[in-house]
Amino acid sequence: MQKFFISLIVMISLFELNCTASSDIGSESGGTSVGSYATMLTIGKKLYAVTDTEIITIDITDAKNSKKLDVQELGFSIESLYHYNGLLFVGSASQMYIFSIGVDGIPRRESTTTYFQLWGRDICSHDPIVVKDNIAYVTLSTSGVSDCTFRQFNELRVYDVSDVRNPKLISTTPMSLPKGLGYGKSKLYVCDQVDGLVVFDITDPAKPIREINFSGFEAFDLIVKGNLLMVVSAKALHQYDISDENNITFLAKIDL
Amino acid sequence: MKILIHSPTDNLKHSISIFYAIFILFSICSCHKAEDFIVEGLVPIVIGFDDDSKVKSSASRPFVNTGKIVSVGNYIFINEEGIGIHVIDNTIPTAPINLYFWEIPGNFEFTIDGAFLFADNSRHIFVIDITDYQQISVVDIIKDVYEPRFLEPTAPADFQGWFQCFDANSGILLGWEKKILTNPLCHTR
Repeated sequence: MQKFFISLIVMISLFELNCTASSDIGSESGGTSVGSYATMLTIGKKLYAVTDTEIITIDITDAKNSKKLDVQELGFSIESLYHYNGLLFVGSASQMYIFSIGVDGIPRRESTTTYFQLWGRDICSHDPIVVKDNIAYVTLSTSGVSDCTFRQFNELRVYDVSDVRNPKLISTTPMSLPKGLGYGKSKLYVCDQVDGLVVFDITDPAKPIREINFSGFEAFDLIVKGNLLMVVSAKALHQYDISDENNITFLAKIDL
Repeated sequence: MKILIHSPTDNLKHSISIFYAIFILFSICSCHKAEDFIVEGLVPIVIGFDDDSKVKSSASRPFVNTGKIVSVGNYIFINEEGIGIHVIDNTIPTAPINLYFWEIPGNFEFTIDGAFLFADNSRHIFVIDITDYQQISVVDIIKDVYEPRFLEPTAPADFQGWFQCFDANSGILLGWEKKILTNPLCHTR
């Protein structure tokens, strides 16, 4: 019965997984930028990976002879892994986990924040996380179909994570169908499957102000790299020049 | 079961018993044959999780069902779910070039660290040397990291009919081929 339930959850999350998104500046490691839906990161000589249920640490000092160092059970429907300032943020369908990385490279859990109290409607959300100036931005979304029986929820959440053991919810902004996200200098970029690319001003990081959107496509995934914003939709790559974030210039849409 | 004792009336019973015996025997045989359902359908083409022989760099291909994204230098890497990774030269952002496709059956997750690509195949993580984007090779396998994803028994979208069910634990589904099936258990909706 439990097995069936787990299978069901996995199936549901699988259905929702064809939306991916991402971005960052904070997740850079050795010139590599990954999206907010990333589940694998390298930090120094360690590879961190989250599976559906676990966080795993692998020593890659000698990449040709990598060694699994540590495996920790977390929960279920884990979807994203984000690195910020020596901390690992793990997003699952219902929770945000914060880990500190010890001197041995092994993650230590500092806190677990549950998005919803009610069991049942948790399992249908997506929740990539990015962090800037001790503020965590999380998008929660349902895929808009029958898998969420309780209600649909689509929102941008802002948490103060300056105390990693006790994150505090600051605000919740309703959205259409938000996916991956990332930030530049003073703007937060959020992929939305309905509204396209949504831009928030985060001059005050704790109070994102919705400004504009570039609509007309289902944005899944994004990466901010210097002055370049790369947004991926199902079949195209959209790029923007964000050297002046108050005057974002659309560069090109390439169908690949 | 009847014990047959010879008498005029028993003779008749005997014949009837033999008739029944033959009939039953016949029905068992014919019944057995009738139960074998033979039909043309599809069989999954599967490779084992330990098999890294399909990992290679090949010609670029169109996006179909994109997933995770990674960027290194002027390159963008985009996952094609369950199939591999698109390699895009983004030196000129207004004109990116779809350069190569790295075939990694079963791949959904990946990251890049210097000369090495870490990419899952739904069960293991392959460590792949990508010093030369055009010529990649598996140098290590980190075993048993993932539980293979629970996949619906799917058949090609343009197919209607019977197929041999696919078990995600048996390996990675590469495709389907036509075969004569005996008693298949799966049928398209």
